[in-house]
Amino acid sequence: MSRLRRSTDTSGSRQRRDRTARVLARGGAWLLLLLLALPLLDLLRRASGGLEWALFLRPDSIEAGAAGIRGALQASLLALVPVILVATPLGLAVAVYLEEIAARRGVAALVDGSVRHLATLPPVVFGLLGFGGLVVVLGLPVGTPLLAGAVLGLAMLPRVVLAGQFALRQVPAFVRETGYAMGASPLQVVTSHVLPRAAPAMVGASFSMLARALGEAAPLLLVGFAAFAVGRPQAMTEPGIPLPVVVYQWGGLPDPLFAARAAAAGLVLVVAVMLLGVAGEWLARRGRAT
Amino acid sequence: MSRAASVNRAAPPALLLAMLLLAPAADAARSHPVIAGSSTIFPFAAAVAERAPGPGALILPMGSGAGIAWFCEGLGAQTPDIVMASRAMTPEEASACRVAGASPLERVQIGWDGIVLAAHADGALPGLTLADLWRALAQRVPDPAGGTEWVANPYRSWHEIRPELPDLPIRVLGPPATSGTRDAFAALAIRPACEAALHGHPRADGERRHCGELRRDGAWVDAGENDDGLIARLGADPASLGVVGFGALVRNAGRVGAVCLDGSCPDADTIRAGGYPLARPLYLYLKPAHRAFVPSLDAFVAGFFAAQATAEGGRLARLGLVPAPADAARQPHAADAGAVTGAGWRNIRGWIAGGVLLAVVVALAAGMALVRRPVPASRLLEKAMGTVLWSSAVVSGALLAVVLATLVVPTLNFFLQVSPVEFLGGRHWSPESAIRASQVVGEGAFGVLPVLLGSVMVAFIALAFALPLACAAAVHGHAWAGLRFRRGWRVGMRLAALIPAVVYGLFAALTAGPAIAATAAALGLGAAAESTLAAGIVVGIMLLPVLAVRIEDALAAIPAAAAEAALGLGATRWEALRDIVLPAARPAIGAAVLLAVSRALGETVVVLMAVGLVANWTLDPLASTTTVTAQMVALMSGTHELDNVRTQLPFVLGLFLAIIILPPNAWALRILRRSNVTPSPVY
Repeated sequence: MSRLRRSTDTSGSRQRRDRTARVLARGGAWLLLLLLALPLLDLLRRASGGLEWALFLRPDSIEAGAAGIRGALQASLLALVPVILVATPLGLAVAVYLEEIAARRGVAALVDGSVRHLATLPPVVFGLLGFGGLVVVLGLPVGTPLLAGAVLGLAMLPRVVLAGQFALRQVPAFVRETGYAMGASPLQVVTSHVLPRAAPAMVGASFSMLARALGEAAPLLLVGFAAFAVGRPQAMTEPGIPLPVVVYQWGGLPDPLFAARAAAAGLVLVVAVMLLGVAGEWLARRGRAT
Repeated sequence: MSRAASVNRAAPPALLLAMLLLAPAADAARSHPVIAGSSTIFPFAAAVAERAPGPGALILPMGSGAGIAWFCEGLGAQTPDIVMASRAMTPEEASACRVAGASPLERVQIGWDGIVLAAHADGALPGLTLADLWRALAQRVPDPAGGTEWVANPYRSWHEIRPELPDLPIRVLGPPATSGTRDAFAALAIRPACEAALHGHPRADGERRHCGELRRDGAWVDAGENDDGLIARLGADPASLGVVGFGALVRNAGRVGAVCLDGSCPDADTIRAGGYPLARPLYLYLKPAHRAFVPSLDAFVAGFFAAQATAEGGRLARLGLVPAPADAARQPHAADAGAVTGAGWRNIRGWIAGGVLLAVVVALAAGMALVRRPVPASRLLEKAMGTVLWSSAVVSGALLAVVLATLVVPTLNFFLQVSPVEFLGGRHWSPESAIRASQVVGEGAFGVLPVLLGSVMVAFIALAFALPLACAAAVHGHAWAGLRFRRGWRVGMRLAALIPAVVYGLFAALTAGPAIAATAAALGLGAAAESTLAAGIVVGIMLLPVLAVRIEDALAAIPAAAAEAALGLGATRWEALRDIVLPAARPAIGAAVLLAVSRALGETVVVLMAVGLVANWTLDPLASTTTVTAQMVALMSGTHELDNVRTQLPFVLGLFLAIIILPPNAWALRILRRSNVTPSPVY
């Protein structure tokens, strides 16, 4: 009898413990959301003093009152061109090769392993490569969207490969097996069976990578973008400082109006990044649904 | 042959053509001016360039020394057209220019500057003498205990130097060795008093070569090239002084004031007339040969002398330029003689480019030979596509191999000059070292431990802050939340992981740092505005989404049947989690934590904006510190020749960081593979 009572007692405390754990976990989740919202709310509050329509029309200036982000926006968009045209297709092609075609040995295994590990290196390290390889050896012009795009593309390349591999791995094996059963070659299996199923996820991931590249400042600070560009770049080889670097620079100036401008520019950056990110999620989901 | 085959045959020549067109395009001349050098002149140059006609200029504030080094690497689009110099070129710099073929040069004096000791607007320091400054900041001073010996600078407080001075700690923020302001400050403010004290002194011969060296024990702080950024840091630390140009004082009037030196306070008149002891001329050096492809050079220089800009209340005057009269300004630079060709790295560049081109041509020829073999069109396509995919893999592999090579070569050079034992074991980080032979800045100390400690502390605080929250949220999502919440949650976390680091950096620098400092002050604790704690917490917030998603992945990889069996036997959800799921998921959670640690160690922008540049050997989370990544950015000089310790240092730190990060990452990735978790591509 006493055993039974004790057991019901413990059972009561077990339920209590379960409830406590549940409340704590839920509280943690909400606190996490709150903390994530904090920097954004702070950004909104500060941006109110610096956000005006003229901000989008004027190039950068050393006077806070006259400073705008037209040039920075243009530089950022131009810098995405090499990422879109070179780094993304290259990375996805490598993913297809590694995941679908190559045997896991020799060169392929080496590339696979190095990509996997390099994707975990911080982007700032790629700034050093950008300086040593692209600026000093290849002579790409400093302070231009061409160089920014090349450096960002380099930093994104291993991540694009990983994202592509991830998307390809989501395609079930039977899809490939049906292709082979019909006598298709490995390449035919890839192009007619695997890629159509993996494409939405690959495109979605590419959009996320673009969003990353758009917001990245660290590697650029090492290749001569801690500088001032007059006007706005009309071409890939004209001077332009991308938006995240401009936000970084303005945020470090003592003039409070520059701090407000930095917040406003940061807000624009967040909105642009989120647009790309949401587009990526939407594309990936749309593909999954059909 | 089918259509596909002919397309294939056309592809390699087309590719070759594209390569040949692209290779010289990288070297194509530009038409916009590139102006590098002194950050003191930088705001004036930017203001002039904003109004100048022609294509937009690029202006790089990297310091006079680094600017001149880059400028003198030769002629052509890869080098600046104009260097801003807050001191005259030294003879050996001029000869470097001549050897590289950059001469003849023209020199233009655009105005005057006074090096100003800026103090917080309500700072308590009255006037100083140059002798006070020397005693406060020189690396070696006469022993205050008496005797003829000179010792490493023992003074901690201004009060110890002269009893009338207040009891404030000696801490002076100033520009690094790549800066002309730093050179001029050492030459004008520190050296004369040192030379005077050594006059007729028995130890004069031994000590004279140290004259002009600044302290390396933390009293002098290298706070970056940017004068305005330095003043912003000064606002966070009212007890310290800042060494800046007169322009920065004018631009920030109201925020900071100037300390008067030898009874003379800096203003436009005392600087121009020479009454202020730390006055110096400001120059532009330009390459006449560059007029050929940058037509707007002269218009730019003329902008410095436009009457309405330099007049009282004009744009340049408001920025703090003390203008020079236009007529006396321009002269050809004295050091210009015959041109000598061929700096070494240029030849290397040619060889590398040639080698790459040759390899491409050989590869394409081989490809074409392969293509010529009669094979059915579909097989051909198959092969060609296979080749394309294989070569993209090889290209990416090669690219990534180059990453390591670019880090390794300067690092090896560095360790030929600095002992690895000093680097890895030293507790003193003061990487100031001469960037040219004639410069007196001392030997530099390269003990990386305090910098590493800063990185580790930021990462530790970030993880300690983020891990419990991320675990709680992941457990909530895994065990209790409904399906709709979970789906929205994952998308939301993926999107949140995309928010750029600069945004968190702004939050840390403008809000979190000051808030934590204020809270600590209210609790009676001393805290720097740029505290390790603030940076760590903000980096922790930044890591939350990735960490939460990765931990949830780890939980989801445990077969649901295990938890269901426990539930079926009467366990509560918490018990099933605690006793079944969490133990099984522990390795994968550990791997997620390791990956997050390496992200925290590699985080750059947030720490750069929030954590400062001073290496402190302390575990106090409220003190300011510096990190490996912040030092990489701060030490990157921008000169293209990586021929001395200082320019190699960012590469050394980069490799050091990679070596620290890669093994734990490799381990983490192995654990993840073994526990069947595919890490979601959230980065």
